[in-house]
Amino acid sequence: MHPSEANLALYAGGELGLWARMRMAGHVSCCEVCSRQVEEFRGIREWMQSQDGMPAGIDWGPLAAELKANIRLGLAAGQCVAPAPQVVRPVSGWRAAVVLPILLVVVVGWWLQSWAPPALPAAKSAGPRGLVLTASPRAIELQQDDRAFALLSPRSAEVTFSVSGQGARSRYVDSETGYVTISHVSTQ
Amino acid sequence: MLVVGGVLAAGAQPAPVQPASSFKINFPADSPVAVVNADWGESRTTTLGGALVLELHSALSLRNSSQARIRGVTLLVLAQEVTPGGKASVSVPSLDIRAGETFPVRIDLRLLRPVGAGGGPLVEIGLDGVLFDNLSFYGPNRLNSRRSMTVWELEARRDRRHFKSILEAQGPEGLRKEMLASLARQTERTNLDVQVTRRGRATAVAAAEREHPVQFAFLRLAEAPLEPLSGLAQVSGNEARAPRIEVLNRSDRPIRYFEIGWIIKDRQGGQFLAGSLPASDPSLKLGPGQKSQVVEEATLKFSRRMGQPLAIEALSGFVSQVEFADGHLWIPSRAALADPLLERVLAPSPEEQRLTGLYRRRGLVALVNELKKF
Repeated sequence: MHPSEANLALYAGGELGLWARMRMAGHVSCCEVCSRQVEEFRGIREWMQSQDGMPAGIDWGPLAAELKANIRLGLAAGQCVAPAPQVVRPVSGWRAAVVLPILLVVVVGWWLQSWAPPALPAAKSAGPRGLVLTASPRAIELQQDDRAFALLSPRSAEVTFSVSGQGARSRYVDSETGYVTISHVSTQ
Repeated sequence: MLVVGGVLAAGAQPAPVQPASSFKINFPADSPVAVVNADWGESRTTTLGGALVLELHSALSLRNSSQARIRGVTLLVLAQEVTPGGKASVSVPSLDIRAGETFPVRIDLRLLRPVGAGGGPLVEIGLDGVLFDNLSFYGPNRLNSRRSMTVWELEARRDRRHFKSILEAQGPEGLRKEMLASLARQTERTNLDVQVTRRGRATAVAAAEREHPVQFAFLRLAEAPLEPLSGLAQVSGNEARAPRIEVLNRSDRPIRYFEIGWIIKDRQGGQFLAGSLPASDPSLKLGPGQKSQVVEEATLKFSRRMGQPLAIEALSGFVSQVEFADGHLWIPSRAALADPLLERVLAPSPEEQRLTGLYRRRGLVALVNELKKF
């Protein structure tokens, strides 16, 4: 059975705990599907990190305040619907440890689902940048401002590529078909 | 950790792609290849903050609906709405597809754009060209796939001749040694990651790495119709900017296109194929005995894998292909490519790559049978 996408994403970002990470590493090393998915998550992560920080045009202060308010609201709502305390009993530690993180995840998930992310203004803070073409064994990517277009090389470990000012080419033998596949991204 | 899981579960929501609204396949009515099936199985979209990431993993099944054997196909991939001028292609050379046979072409791409931007199909997939056994060509040729596919086919014929001559002269064991030598070269060869910017510098540099001109040295290939005379590029650390090379047509025919391959040497003595410098003037007509200069207003920034530093020390160049005004093409011979430096840094031709892959996967008998087909 394959691990969930969320766990694969956490693994790709190095966010899993030691044991979970070891278990996942064992699975990924022998599962081509999951290995490819981890590589894709890493690629996206690297791309995001290569951008100029967080998306422009988002005021994070109010969003953080809204998140805190939603969590407090959830906790307060939980208290409202709870039966009135008749006997003062200490809450056992394990219940709190289970319920609070779940509640937190539900509230955060609800908030993210309901928040429509604002469209990115076309990098107005950075101003227009030229086209940038990047060639690596994983992909040839053409990037301008907040947009990018990449041809990927997912089915081979041995990728060769060549570049010129007019574009880049990558070449690999498709492990499934045995055919040579040549990707070309033009800057013209 | 749970919070991060919640964020990923809710924020990065992979969803299957609706092919009809995202992609459009558009082949001409008289196309010699027809789409039999299009599988978009693993394609999906993910929202990350304000960005929409769309991954397309498609397998197109194409049928040769002409009467001639197909040697190569190039599909045009247009994503104009995502990146201005976003033009790309996926080619499959070294084919041997008879009339009525089907073959797969895979396209794997990723698009990233702001959420809510634009409408209509994001990617249009068309046909840029088909190359047949007799080197005739069909297609709009918007990305010059005719020249590229013809060069690959000429290289394929050259390399098959080379391997067949070894098989005849030294038998299967000789061919095995040649395959192992090629595989060893492919393994030892180092590829650099490259970033190309069309204007300005790729990065700001410290004063210690001030830009300075570096002259090209040239490998003279005896039978090349073009002779590189001089050249230089502005170098700073791991960046080379605005390479320019002067060439002389020493053949008796006018030339309309050429490419100069260039090799960089770093301060640790490593040598790497940096890329190519193509003639950029579409109206070029370089007569016999005439000189021309090719200039590229771009900056190329090189880096090794795993972030190891690299500093360019020297540049060298060689003529890698020439197209005459009458459409004939020149490529280096196997003898010319046996130069120790070229042998070390050049990637094998697509056909050599395919044949060594076949040897590795299916063994010597399968390789010998494959060579006998041609």
